[in-house]
Amino acid sequence: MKISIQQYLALLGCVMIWLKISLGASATVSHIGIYPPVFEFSARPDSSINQTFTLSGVPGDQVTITTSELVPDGDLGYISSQEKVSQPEYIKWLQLGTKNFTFAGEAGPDGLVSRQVSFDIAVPKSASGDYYFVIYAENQGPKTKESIGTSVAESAKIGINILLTVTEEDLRVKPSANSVFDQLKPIYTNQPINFISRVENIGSVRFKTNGTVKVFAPGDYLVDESSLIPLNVLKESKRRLQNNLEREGELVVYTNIGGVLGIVLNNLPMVYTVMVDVVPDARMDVEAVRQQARFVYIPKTFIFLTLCVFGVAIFIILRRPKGSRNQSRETTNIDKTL
Amino acid sequence: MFIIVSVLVGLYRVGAVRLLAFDMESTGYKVQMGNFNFTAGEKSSDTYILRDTAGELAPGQSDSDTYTVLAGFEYVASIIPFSLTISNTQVNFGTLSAGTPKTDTTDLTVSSGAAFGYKVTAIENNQLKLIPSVATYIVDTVGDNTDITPTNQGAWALSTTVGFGYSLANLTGTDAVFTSGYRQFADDSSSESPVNVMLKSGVTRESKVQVTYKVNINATQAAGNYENKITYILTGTF
Repeated sequence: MKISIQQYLALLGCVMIWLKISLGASATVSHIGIYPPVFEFSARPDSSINQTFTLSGVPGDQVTITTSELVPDGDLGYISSQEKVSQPEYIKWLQLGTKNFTFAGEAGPDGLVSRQVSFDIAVPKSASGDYYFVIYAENQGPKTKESIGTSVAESAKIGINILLTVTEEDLRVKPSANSVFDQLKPIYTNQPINFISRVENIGSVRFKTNGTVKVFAPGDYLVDESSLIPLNVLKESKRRLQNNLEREGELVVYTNIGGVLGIVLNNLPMVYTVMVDVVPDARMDVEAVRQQARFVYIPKTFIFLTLCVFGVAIFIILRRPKGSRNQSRETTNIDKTL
Repeated sequence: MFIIVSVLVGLYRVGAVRLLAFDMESTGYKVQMGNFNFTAGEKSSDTYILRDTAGELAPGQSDSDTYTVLAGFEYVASIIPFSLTISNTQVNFGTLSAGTPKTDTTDLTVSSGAAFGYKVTAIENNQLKLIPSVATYIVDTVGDNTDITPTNQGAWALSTTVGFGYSLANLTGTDAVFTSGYRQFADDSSSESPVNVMLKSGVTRESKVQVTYKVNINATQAAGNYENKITYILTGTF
C-alpha cells in the first residue's frame, strides 16, 4: 500500500500532537503525597529510632526534603508552616536517609510513583520530655524551560508531623486516675450552641484528651452523653474541643463535662488546666432564649396530665349510652314545650 | 374514640421525641467518632509503642527495644491519601502591556484523612523579579483602595492599579479562606510567614480551589522577563 506525502505528513502531525499532549499533561501537574502523615513516638533516653515514610509523585519530578521544628498554630491542632532560619539544636537528632531525589519508575493508573524515605532519630542520654518535628517534602517539579515574558513557577510541599516523648517511665500511655475537671454548667437555649472546652497543657509532655460530655434536661434527666475526642495537647499549648449542640424546643439544658480528661505518661510530672466557655455569639443567643423561655415553659408532667384528663373526659363522653343522651335531649325538649 | 386518644398520645410522644433528639455531633466529630473505638490505638512492647489506625493503607507497627511509634491519622479510616496536587507547575503571562491586566489560573486539590483538618499555606520566594536583575520588581499589588495585604483582600478592578496578586474560588468544597477580592502573596524574602489559602477542620476526599493570578504594569515598568515562585504547603493537624 502506497502512502502519499500528504498522508505521511498528516500522520506525522497527528503523532507529534499526541506526543505533545501526553508529555505535556504529565509535566504540567505537580503532585506530592505522603504516608503516614503523623508519627507519635515514645522513647527512652539514649535510644535510636529508625522509620520510613512513603512519598508519591509524578515520574521525573524532583523532591527536596527538609526538617523543621513543629510549632502549634492556634488551638485547633494546626501547625505553623513557617520554617525558621534558626532551628533548635534537637532538630539535628533527626537525620534523613536522603534529602534529594527524582521520582522514577513506571507510573500506576493514577500516573504516580512512590518512593520510600528512611529517617533516624538519635535520642541523646540527656533528653527528657517532648520534642516536635516536621519533615517537609517539596516537589520542585520537572526541570522547566526558561520562559519568555512574565511567569510564576509553582511547587507543592507537604509536611509530616512527628511527636517525640522521651521518658524513663513506662512507655505505655495510661489513663490518668484522677478526674481533672467536673463541672455542671447550666445553659438556657432553644437554639444551637457552640460549646467549647479549651484544654491547656502547661506540663512538659503531651497528653490526649479523654472524658465525656453529658447533657441534662430539667429534672436531671440525661438526654445525651458523648465521649471526648482523643486529641493531642502538646506541651505548653492549648487545644480546643468543640461540640455543636442542636436543640429545638428545649428550654433548659444542663451540660456536664466531667470524667478523666488527661491521659498521661505514668508518673511524669504534668499540670494542666481546663477552661470552659461558650462562644460570644452563643452567649448572646442564650440570653435571648432565656427571655422567651419565661413565657413558653410548661412542665412536661403538666402537659401529660392535661392530655390524660382531656382524653379521659372525651372517652367518658363518647362511652355514655346513646339512650341516656337521647333521653336527656327529649327531657329538654319537653321542658321547652311546657 | 380510640383514634382521638391515639392522636393525643401521639402528640405528646412527638414532643417527647423532640425533647430527646439531641444531636451533639459537629461536622468534625462525626468523622472522628465514625472510627472511634475501631482498632485505632496503641501496640506496645517492653521498650516501645506503636499507635496506628486500622483502615489506613498500611498501618504499620514497628518494634524496638527502646521506643514506640504510633503512625497515621488516628481515629480516622484514612484510606484517603494525604496529598496536594497543583494543576500547573508554571503559569506564563507572556508579554505584558501597560494598563492591560492579565490573569491566569491554577487549581489546588487536597485529599486529607486528617481527622481534625488540614491547611494549605502559600508563600512567594520574592515579588515578580526582573531576570537577570538585582532589585527590579513588579511589586505586589495594594489594590484600588490601597488595602490589599497578604492577610487582607481588597478590590482590584481598575486598569490603572498595578502589581501582582491573587484571588480564590471554591471548585469542590468550601475550603478557600476568601472568595472575593484579591490578596498579595506573603513574601519570603521579606521574612513574612506563609498565609492560609485553604483550611478545613475535618476529613476531605477532595477539596479543590482555583487560584487566579493577576498582574498589571504601567508604562514605567522596565522591560524584560519577570519571574517568581509560589510554594503551596499542605500540613495536617496533629
